[in-house]
Amino acid sequence: MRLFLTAVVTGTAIGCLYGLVALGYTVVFNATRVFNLAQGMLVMSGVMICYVTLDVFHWPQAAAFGGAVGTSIVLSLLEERVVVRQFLRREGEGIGWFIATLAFSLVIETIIRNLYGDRAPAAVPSFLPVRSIAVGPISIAPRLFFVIASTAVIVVMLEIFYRRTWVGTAMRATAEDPEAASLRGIEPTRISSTAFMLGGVVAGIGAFAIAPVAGSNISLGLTYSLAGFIALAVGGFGSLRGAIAGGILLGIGNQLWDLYVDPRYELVAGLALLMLVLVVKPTGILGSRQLRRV
Amino acid sequence: MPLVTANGTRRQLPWVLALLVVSGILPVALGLSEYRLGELEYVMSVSMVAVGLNIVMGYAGQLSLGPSAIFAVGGYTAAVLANAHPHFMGLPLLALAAMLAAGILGIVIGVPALRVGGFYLGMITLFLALLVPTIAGYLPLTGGSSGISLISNMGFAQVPSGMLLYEVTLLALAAIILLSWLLLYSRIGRRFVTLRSSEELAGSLGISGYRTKLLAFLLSALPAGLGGAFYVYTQQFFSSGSASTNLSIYLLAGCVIGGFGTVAGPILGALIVLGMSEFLGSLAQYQGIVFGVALIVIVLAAPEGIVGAYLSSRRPWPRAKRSPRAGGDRPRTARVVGGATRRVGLHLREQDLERGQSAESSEVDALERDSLAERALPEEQSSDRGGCGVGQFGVGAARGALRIEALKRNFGGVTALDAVTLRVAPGTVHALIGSNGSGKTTTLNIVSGFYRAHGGGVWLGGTRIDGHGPAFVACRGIARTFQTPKLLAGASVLENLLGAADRSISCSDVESLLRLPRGRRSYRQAIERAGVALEMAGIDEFADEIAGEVPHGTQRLVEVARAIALEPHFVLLDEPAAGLSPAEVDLLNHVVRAFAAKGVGVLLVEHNLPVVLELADEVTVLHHGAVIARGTPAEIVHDPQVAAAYLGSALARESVSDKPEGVGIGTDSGDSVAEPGPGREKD
Repeated sequence: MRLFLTAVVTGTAIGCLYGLVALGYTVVFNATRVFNLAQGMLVMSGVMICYVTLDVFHWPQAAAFGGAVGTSIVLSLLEERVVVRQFLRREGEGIGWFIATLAFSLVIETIIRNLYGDRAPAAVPSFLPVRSIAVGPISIAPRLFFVIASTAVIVVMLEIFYRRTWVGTAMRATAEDPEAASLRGIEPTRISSTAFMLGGVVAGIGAFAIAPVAGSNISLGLTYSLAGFIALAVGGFGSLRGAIAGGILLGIGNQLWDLYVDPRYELVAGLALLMLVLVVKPTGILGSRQLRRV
Repeated sequence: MPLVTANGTRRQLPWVLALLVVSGILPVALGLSEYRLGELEYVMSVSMVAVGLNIVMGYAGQLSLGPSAIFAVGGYTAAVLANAHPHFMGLPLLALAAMLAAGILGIVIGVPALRVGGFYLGMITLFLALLVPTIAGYLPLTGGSSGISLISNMGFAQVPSGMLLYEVTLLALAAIILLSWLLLYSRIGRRFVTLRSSEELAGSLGISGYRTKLLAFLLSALPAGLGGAFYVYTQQFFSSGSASTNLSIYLLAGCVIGGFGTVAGPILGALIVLGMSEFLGSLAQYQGIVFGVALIVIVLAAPEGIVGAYLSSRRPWPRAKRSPRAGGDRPRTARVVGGATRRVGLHLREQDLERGQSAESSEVDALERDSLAERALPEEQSSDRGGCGVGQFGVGAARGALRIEALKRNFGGVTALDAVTLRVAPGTVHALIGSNGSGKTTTLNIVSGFYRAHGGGVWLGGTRIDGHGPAFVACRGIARTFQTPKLLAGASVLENLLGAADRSISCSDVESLLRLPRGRRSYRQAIERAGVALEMAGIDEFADEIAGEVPHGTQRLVEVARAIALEPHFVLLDEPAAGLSPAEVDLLNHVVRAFAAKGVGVLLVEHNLPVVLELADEVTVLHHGAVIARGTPAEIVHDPQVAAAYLGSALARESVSDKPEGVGIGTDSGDSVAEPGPGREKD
């Protein structure tokens, strides 16, 4: 039972990160109809920045936070500018943008891999105490709570942003009907760069939170991208809460699989979950919107 | 009879052939070492996977990032078998086993494609590309992280070996390229290309998205499996590193750079990508950057890839001048379509015509847009299994009337159709008119199987046909046209009709693929039939033009011609006259009358009242989803209720007394004429 509960809590924390990747997808997708495959790579680059600032330079945690968020914002905006915006202008969408975001994430991954070299994945220190907190029968590391708390804060902030601010409203309008929104004077490029910036912020904060949990591991970039996609598929397209719910479900599912089946074949759990959702409810748990023909 | 005619292929094939011949001779001439030969064999094995990827992605348009997973399954199958039975498993058996295993996985991957498409499918396949090597890296069966090595297996010996093995590998690759080329120009290829262009179009031609996608995934898996077998046989080794996720991405990069949908593109791309990996040497660690940047540049600057750009830059045929149409009664030359066959074959350069012109279709109101989106719902898609087999189009269809009974349909809370009933008898023209949002197109979409009815139903003779998807309906001999033309924009006008003409000509896919006598004959028949359809629509002079480049009115007539080529029992025309010039309208009238004269029942949704009055035997008027009038054109014209619904009451009085010739109704919604005129009190 203790193991089970620990798995659930750990799964929730890791799942929150998958949810954050899915959230990044959603924010960008709603505004631009582009599925930004590089989202997981943005998180990974943020984690690597945390590793460099904390493990290599021994700078304060605030620098790591700023560095991670700043880097992922810059990369995300760069991607929007160089890769994505060209496709937004083009009539008739194909799969070009998908391939382009895939290529962009390949470039990021290769650059970081070369900078990091052959070093083994290393632990990244957290600003929170290492000692676990006893909660009922189990003890939990504070850094896991931090991931969950950051996710909650991001979701709340995003919902406020979407509902209360002018830009947020404009973004929702664009999500509803891009043509009508642009006729009302909402500039698509501005919406698109704002969305990518938000995607960068979400990735950066997620990276800072997950770095002490995951450590510096380059191959996690693709894993995050794919796990975030599964979270999105499970939770449902277009919904912020659905994204997080899907992520948590995947995280818990993975941990339980590790506990009761075999951690080496963890990916199978994700595949099973994905197939289950596809068969039972293809729109995802909280998704009412259809998968558009993209 | 020049059957192999596509200029696109003609201009690719010499290069491909030259490459193959040089690859066959050069190593012998140079006396390459076994080591070098092994490297070349590796390149060729992986090129086979690229050819397979091109089939599913380039031809059929299904985003697949999982070729490395299929390659892995083929490779591991071969490796495990060769390791266990080194004496028994020769190269042919290994190849067979690997292709079988790969084919099974291909179909398994194809199953999600039935429910989702686009990047969603791309992500699932990418996930598999990560999952398969990861799992294989742990499984004892596949040798764990060190993989399976046949070199240490004393019993295993390459039976063809050295130079002979090299030539055999080259022959296998050549055979795969040849087959992939035959495939593109066979009726299977035409189905793939139609599917790629638009799933709705495919459905309306009776092509089942379900079967076609599965077939595409299967056919793409076979070369990948074969590649796996050759990899194992020539390298005597297979591990999870042989089929890493990056292999999929590099192959994708190769195909994009070379040109998806062309025959030579994937080969060229695979050579570039794999060759570069070899060349880069110590810089190989940066190849991700090189490929990534190249990919971005190509996708942005030359999305057709190198071969695609080469083909489109040097189109050999002159752009014919398009004179405005002279009129319906111009001399019809019974032109034999021999001229047109000169370059039949599908040039895969269609942009999404439908989308490009969406601005023009202002007709699509919010209601329709919602339902269009809804159509993409997986549930609705998955019902589309009713494609007809070879030559079954319209065969055995009940020759009764087409009956629509008490049809209901809601979109959200909005009632789009409320108990709509009408009947189209064979050989008659039934017009369905009404203002925007009155439910005309919704009716048509339910009849043609794109939407489901929420009440009532559609019967053809004694068979209920609604709710089974568009292919089911089409296969019962009901053709439709689309409001916004759905054409293969990069193919010629004649080629656009081939996919439709194929449907009612009996010939097996294998006969068509291998160009057996019956395949050739049916191909000739299809061309002939397409030519006749074009002539009937009065646009045969455009046969050789690129469909995306002919005038809009002509594109709409191509839609109609495509319906003719299907040889349907019933045809549903969705505002065929919109945007036509008067001369083209004459052509259209001609066609519709010819349909009726041949005993075809026509359901005509149309705004252009003169056209309706001229053609219709019976008219049904919809308003807010309900039938408000029905009768002969003359009766409808004098129905005050109809006039009120359309024109507002003030105008209605005039129109009752006047002949409403030339009044195009429906461009404004009836409700917008809210002026309270003197006649209002009547309501």
